[in-house]
Amino acid sequence: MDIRLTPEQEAFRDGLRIWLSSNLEQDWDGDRYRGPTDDVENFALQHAWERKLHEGGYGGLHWPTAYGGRGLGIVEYFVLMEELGRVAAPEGINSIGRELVGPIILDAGTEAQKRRFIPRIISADDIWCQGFSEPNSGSDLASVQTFASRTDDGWVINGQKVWTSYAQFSNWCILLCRTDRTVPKHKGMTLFLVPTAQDGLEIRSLRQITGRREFNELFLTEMRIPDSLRLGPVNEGWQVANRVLAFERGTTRLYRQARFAHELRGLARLVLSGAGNKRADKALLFGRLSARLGILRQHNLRIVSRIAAGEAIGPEASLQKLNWSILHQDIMADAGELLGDAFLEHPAAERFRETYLQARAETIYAGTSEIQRSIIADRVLKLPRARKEGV
Amino acid sequence: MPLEFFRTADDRLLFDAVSNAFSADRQECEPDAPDAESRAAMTIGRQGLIQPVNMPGRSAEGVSLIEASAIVEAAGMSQVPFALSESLVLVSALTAAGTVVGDGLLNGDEKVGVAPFSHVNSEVDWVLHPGAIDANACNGQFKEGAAGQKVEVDLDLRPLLWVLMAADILGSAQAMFDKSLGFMGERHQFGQPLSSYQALRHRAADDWVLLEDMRAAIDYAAVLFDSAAEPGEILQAARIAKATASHAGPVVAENAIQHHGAVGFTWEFGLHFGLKRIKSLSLRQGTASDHYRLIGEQYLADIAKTFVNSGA
Repeated sequence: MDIRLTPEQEAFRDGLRIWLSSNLEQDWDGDRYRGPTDDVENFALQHAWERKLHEGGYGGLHWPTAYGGRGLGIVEYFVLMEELGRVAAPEGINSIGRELVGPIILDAGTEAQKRRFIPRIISADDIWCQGFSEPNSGSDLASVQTFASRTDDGWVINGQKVWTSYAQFSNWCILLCRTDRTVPKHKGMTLFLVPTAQDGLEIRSLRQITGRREFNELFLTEMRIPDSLRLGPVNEGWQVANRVLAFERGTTRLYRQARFAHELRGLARLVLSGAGNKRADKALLFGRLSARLGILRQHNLRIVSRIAAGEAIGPEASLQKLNWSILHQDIMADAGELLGDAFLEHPAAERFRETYLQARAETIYAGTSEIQRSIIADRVLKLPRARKEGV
Repeated sequence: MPLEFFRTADDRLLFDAVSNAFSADRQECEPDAPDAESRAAMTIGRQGLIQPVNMPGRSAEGVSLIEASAIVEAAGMSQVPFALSESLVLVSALTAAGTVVGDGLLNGDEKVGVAPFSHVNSEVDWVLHPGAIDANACNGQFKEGAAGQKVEVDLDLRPLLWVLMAADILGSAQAMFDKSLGFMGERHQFGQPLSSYQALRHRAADDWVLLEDMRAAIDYAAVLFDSAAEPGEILQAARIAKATASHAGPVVAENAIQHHGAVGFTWEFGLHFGLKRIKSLSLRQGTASDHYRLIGEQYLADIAKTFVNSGA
């Protein structure tokens, strides 16, 4: 075992730190780290930051050079994620493009699709959203009913999607549709790449418990698209998406650990400044949270080094999704214990109030904690199921 | 050298070989057999498993802490009734101090206890004094032989001891977890295997996560120790390993008994051996909250420093 970076990787990290200190706004490391509360202003800020990262040479870091990427390895990507998280840099608006659509296109797209879409994801010229969940298909994602039927020159799509983050700011959407109702549910779905400005697509934003409007409903009515926008083989959409999702669950949120560590440091500063609840057991609460943050990072190191060694990351990535989402909620719960009244009232605690609410979403999206536990029980522990389905 | 934070093929080979050696002698080593402890010691002696762990900055030909923790984890998994962690730490300390280590320690004839223990002196040949768990700096450490001789070593033995105790907890908890997975697949109630019930499936998934958390924390502290990282960093990582194992080990063990139902509560079935082993390891050398508090004090002290520096 070895956890040291190579001299080249260290040089990359040092260069990145210098770049960040001169490109991130000077007072970023304060209360503004969540971005403006106005959704349009926030979009502009997040988008501008993503373009800046690209101009700095940090876009598409571990993607092939043939499509505009830098062709570096997963370790450099991990270093980038960790450094961005460490200073709580803006998370960007195109995470669906960078972390979901890009990898699926690289894995299953045609050559023409790779050339058309990948460079524009890297440069943040295209913003993507994800049309997977439906009103009646949340955890049971494979039951999607939005239907794409064949026409002479393509497909016509009807249905409804929900929990589609940033759809109002996106120009493209990756859509999971049923294409065959006569076969078992996992075998009759196909992925499509659809432009959001298209006729037949209506977007309605939903207000969340944080007050922000990030996610949306999509209504698809007789929307027509050419066959060239089909991603991967017909009726294999589930398999195509899952192959990438298993890998992605392990790597998409690599910056989170460092970002949470940034939050915990902010909380500690606030507590040490005297704002805290005097009776809180500070040492115990901070000790437990920082220990768990350490373990979260160690799991990241494990996943990254396994990928670097050419190993496949499978369902065990569900461990990371479970761990980071629950730990984040626990940090915010302990912020309440440590701050007491100040959690509700102190101006500097606004970030914790908002994050407390935002963290509710994290054990729900990208597969609820219950779904992750079921994946572990099924595919890691291989626990025998009931004879009848659905227990 | 690329980033490599996982068990390599060589590490797995060692773990498997040690596990096989222990399980081959398992019949001889039933924990409640009257002379189990000495038989276990013989097994360990025959296999040459008690070796010095290479101390950072000291030249010695021994095993790495990664390897030592794999050996102790395998011992925990086979419930070897022998204080292997303590023996390894003592042998390592003596070797690092340039003291000649006798055969009795290397073949397990001589037993080692860790202070403070009110009854420890009457039952063991050596007493290890690793120093207070809450001391900040490395103090002079010493051990004494049964014959009254004292050996002082200027080495902080605590990280070594904590990581190995955590590895013992991990192996013991993994064995109990594996047993309960097997049982859940075989045992039927209401016409279905226990493993079909979501409440049990999900608890098993949570227990698996706890085992992986322990493994990550142990490997990380061990790799820092082996690569001679800064002592404060090693100490904090070892605290995290011990705190995590002290917290998670008993949870996994207690759940294993729950998953077995009433049969898990019987003396004959034997789950209590693992439970007692884990519980005592988790309380000795600092409980989970002892270590969490010390981690937290250090964490807050580090933040306070940056506070002053930035003038905020």
